[in-house]
Amino acid sequence: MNNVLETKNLSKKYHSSLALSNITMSVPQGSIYGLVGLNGAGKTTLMRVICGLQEPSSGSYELYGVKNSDRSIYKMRKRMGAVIEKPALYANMSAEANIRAQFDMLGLPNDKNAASELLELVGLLGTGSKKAGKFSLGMKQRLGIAVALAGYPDFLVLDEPINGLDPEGIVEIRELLLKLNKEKGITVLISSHILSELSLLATHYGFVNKGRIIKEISAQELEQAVRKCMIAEVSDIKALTMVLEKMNVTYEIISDSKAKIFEKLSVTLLSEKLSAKGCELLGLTEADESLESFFLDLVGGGVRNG
Amino acid sequence: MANIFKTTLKNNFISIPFIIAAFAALFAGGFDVVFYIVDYDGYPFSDSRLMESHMPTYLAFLIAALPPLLTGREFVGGTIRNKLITGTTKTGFFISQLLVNSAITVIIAMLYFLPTFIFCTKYYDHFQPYMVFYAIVFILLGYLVITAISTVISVMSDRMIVSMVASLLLLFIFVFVDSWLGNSLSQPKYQEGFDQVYYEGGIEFESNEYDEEYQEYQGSQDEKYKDYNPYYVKSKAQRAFMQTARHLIPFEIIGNGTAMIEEQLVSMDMYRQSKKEAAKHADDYPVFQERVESLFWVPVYSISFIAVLTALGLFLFKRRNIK
Repeated sequence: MNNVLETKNLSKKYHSSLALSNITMSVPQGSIYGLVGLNGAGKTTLMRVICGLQEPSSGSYELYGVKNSDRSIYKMRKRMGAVIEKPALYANMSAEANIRAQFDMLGLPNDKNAASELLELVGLLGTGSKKAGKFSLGMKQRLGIAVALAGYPDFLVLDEPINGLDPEGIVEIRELLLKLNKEKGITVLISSHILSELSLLATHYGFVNKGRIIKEISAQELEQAVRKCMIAEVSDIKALTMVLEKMNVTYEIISDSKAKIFEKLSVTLLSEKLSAKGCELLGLTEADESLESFFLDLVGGGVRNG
Repeated sequence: MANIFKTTLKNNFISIPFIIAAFAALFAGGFDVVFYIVDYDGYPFSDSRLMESHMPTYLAFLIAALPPLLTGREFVGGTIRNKLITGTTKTGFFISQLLVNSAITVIIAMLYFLPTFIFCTKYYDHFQPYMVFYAIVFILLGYLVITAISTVISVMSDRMIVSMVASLLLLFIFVFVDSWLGNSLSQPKYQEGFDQVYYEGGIEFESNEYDEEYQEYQGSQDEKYKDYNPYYVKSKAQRAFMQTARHLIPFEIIGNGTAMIEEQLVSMDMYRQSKKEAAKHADDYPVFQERVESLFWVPVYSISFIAVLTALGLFLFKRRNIK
């Protein structure tokens, strides 16, 4: 699979503070890449750097295989759309005028119908001449996405797009992003600290902490890591594997005496079968590792205070 | 870059700051004309109120306030991001902003000069359009220098108010430095006398050595008071440096242009003459005594200043982290 974005040891320093430190990551084409991190972890800085708003202090990145130091990177940027930190809008213009201004800026035909299509896509078709400055935060977010889509990009970068949205707005944005990804094949790089929401979208994850990527993982791998399970502790791990194989149950050995069991089964039955093999069931505990606890484990637990 | 230039120009034309500034400029031009008409009644036009008009200077402040409001909008609203993210270079953005702000400055200045121009062509018999045209070009160059300064300031801050205050503050500093340099350069070599108050028939009169009656009274006392002026700038190099610095100040450029409109007939004669001839007759026209030598260099200085500001602006803006 080709990568839309690849970063190599990307660092960004502001005076004496290091905002990004040796970030190496890759965003596969067609994926929805979730950038997960606490506030101040460096997600927005990373997005600013890859969008060309700021120059990296060291390291490099490639967009569609073109290095950031190459002059043709500007051509590649035309294939991008982004909403970083807050939607970038002309407050004194209507939603349609904002989109048409972006058409003009990109040298595209200033087509009213195309603007209406984008407004319909983000659910803002009925806003008429209302100025963007008077929009609610959710409407601004949606208009920001519409403006980002004005250049028909195939790579969309969204920084906390569901911040400040009501539940209905969150669902709408999620459905919109899934639609763009599935129907138009747009690759999405999205940052959020609302992990439960991100988990409904992302196909890949990058966990960021203190300016570093601490783990890159696919959605399937993450699902495996956080799925509900029981941890069985036994006196003979070989006997346990034999019993579980016979019962046709998914499991994972995690130590000499412990194994994760990913399916529901009768404790009595398991105990009986183990006894028949001369193995003692020492303990059976339920493990429920949520996405949040997985992330907090990654960043070292007690990072978040209160 | 053409796209971003066109879009920015279009967006700025429908912006409230531009509309207000355009009306203000038109009003200021009309205000000057009303002054002329009032003055015209029974007086020759050469005594025009333009001589006393400070409107071109006031307009400079309006022009300095526009880039923070127009370019600043891109930073406040974050729309600069939409441009840079989609492939506009920082150079392209800066140059387009500079060009758009300059175009707007030209429009604002033209709106100001329009009523004056119409009035002159209608009512003034000796009107020489090309002379006024030169003057307008000089003033415009001064305005364009101010626009370049203000644009550089505007792209360096995300806060509109900070850019605005910095631009206007810099203009006040220019006014102060210009007047200080002008004052220093116009100091006579010798103290030419002193004001004296005398009374005649219970009425207070103020006189000085130029007063004929006082001259008679003073007689041979004159020499006694002709002391060396300690404020006179002696060094030729220092005078040249100060003069050059003065020409770089946009207000001096605007002042030169305004003076040309003020005394267009005079300046016309002076302008046709060689530097040597002009200097010979300069005593008759005190306004040009110190300016006549530099008029040729005014556009050169202005254009050079704009070029330096553009290079400086690009250097700083390209290194700036956009949020």
